[in-house]
Amino acid sequence: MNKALSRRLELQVDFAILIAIVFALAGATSFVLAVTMGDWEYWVDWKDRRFWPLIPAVLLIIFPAGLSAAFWARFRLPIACTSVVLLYTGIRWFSTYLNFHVFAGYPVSFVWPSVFIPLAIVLDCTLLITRSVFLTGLFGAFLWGVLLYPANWPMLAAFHEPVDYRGELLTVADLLGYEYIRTGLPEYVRMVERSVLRTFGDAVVPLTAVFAGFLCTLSYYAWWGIGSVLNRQIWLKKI
Amino acid sequence: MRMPRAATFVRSGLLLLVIFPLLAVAHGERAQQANTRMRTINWYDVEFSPRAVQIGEEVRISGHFRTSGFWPPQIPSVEGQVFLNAGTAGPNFIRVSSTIDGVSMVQSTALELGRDYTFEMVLKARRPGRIHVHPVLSVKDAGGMVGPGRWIEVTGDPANFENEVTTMFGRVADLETFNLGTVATWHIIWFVIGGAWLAYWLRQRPLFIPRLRQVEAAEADSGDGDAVISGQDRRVAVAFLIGTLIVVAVGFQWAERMYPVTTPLRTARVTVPAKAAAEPLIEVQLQSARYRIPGRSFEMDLEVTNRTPKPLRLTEFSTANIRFINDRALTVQPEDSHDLVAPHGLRVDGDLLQPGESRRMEVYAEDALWETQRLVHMINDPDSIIAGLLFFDAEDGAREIVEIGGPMLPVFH
Repeated sequence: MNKALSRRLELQVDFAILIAIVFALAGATSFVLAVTMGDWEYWVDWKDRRFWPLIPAVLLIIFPAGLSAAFWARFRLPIACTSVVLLYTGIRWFSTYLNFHVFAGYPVSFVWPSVFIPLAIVLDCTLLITRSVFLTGLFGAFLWGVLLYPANWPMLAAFHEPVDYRGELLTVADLLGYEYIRTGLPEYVRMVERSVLRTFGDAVVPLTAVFAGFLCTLSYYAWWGIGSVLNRQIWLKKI
Repeated sequence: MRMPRAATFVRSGLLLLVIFPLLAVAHGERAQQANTRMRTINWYDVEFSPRAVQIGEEVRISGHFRTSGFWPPQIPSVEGQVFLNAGTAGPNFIRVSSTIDGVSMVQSTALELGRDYTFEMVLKARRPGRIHVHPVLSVKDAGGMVGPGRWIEVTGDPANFENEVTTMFGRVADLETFNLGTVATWHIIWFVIGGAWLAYWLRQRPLFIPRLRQVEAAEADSGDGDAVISGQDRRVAVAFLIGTLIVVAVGFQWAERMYPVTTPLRTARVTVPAKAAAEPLIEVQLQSARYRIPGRSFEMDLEVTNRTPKPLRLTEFSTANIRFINDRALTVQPEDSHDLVAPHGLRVDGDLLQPGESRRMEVYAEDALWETQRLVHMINDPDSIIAGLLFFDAEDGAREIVEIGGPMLPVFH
């Protein structure tokens, strides 16, 4: 086979892999996350201090960890996490604008997607720097869980500014949830932080972040393992 | 040949449904089982005012509801957690205020069974159209108990709609676009950084097969595929890692300075003050109830005692949002095509009850609404227990409302 033909075939393989990643992973990630953590991502009045920094972080790491196993073992490419998260975020913006804003009529301010991209960059970079799955899970995946809240706080903080609404204390996010009617989603459906007797010096966010980091570490190892199993070269032994 | 034709026919039908979808205007009010609609929330005196508004103008929905004393025990009730909601297709309106017995319903509450409540909701028109609106009492773990609906005409330009709010720190903002610039800016920043990281790795073309061969060769040579990673790769990764952490830290500090005081989301449950049930001045016992299927006729045999000093007349029977009117005593016409009023639907055998009088009363509620509102399905319900409100009116306008309920027997011939 001459060099030009070989190069053309290799470019076509690149193209096929990228297309497969875009359609399979972006679709699968969006679907899985929509049915598992959807509401925390859809509504700004679900982005609380206890569940939102925890559940999306733990669930979103599934595909990045699984795909990292394949991309690292085969190609030593630390791009799986960033690729998945960039695709997911792009699709969420597409869905936010078309489904929630144009079709359903909600203001984008009420339904904007969270930022996960810095978490993915940190995880990819940690993998490359340490070249160790164990250390990447220990530090990178832990930071994935810890950084979700601070990475999004520049966007979210304004929504938590207090409002005196007819004598009641609300946040701007609460007010958006109250005013923009969701017939099928009454207020009590929200799974958000509620007052409890178990407190730790009011340190809700740090506690949640550390717990999220711990779960993300475990989740990363589990999904890396599953990704490795699925990545076994069974049919094609050599290219 | 038959199968391909059938498949083509089905495919064409599906395609037509996609291209020309039917207008969906209902809110599932007929979807629930008949007896659960009759035995949960009975709404009455519900008014919508005005019925035509410009964008930015307000519509007031007010009225009363009675939480049924015959609430099915297997269905979570209003004693758990409820939220006064509006049933409409999306945020065509914003909710300005909502109250039950004067208590603000921004949050959820709990109610008592067998009691009357007064509610009010003020909505502000946001998008144009002919919009069907209901009051809804959302009951946790049970679902939405939908009240009567009306069509509201909304005209005007939605671009003119503004929804300004002032925070407790004096910041004035339009909720339609609140903080959108900041959200978009941060997303763009991260897309650029993430895109740069990918661009660094994807710059090599072709990528995957040569890289795979390099890794395999490195593993064959030294047993370590990591040899394909260069010093430059590591330096770039360190730069991206540190840069990302710095941007996150700077962004967080910026937000802390911009918004030094923030509060968590509000989740308190509000309390509607308890109110002792008024002693009923008219006593009604449902002796028997039959639904005659061929005539769409619901027959009730009542034992009624009037303890008021005034003569009372049975003017209305209301159940599952359908009003059966005794036209000898009351004139009510449907306000629009979805107003569930049977103007001549109530026939009473001796509707006038003198003070102190106690006697049996035969009542017939008859109308096609039993069929069209799928209440005839009560014969298919597992328990076939019905309930509804009877309205007794005096000449001077005084009114007594009594809830009746009990088992119903279908009559098939």
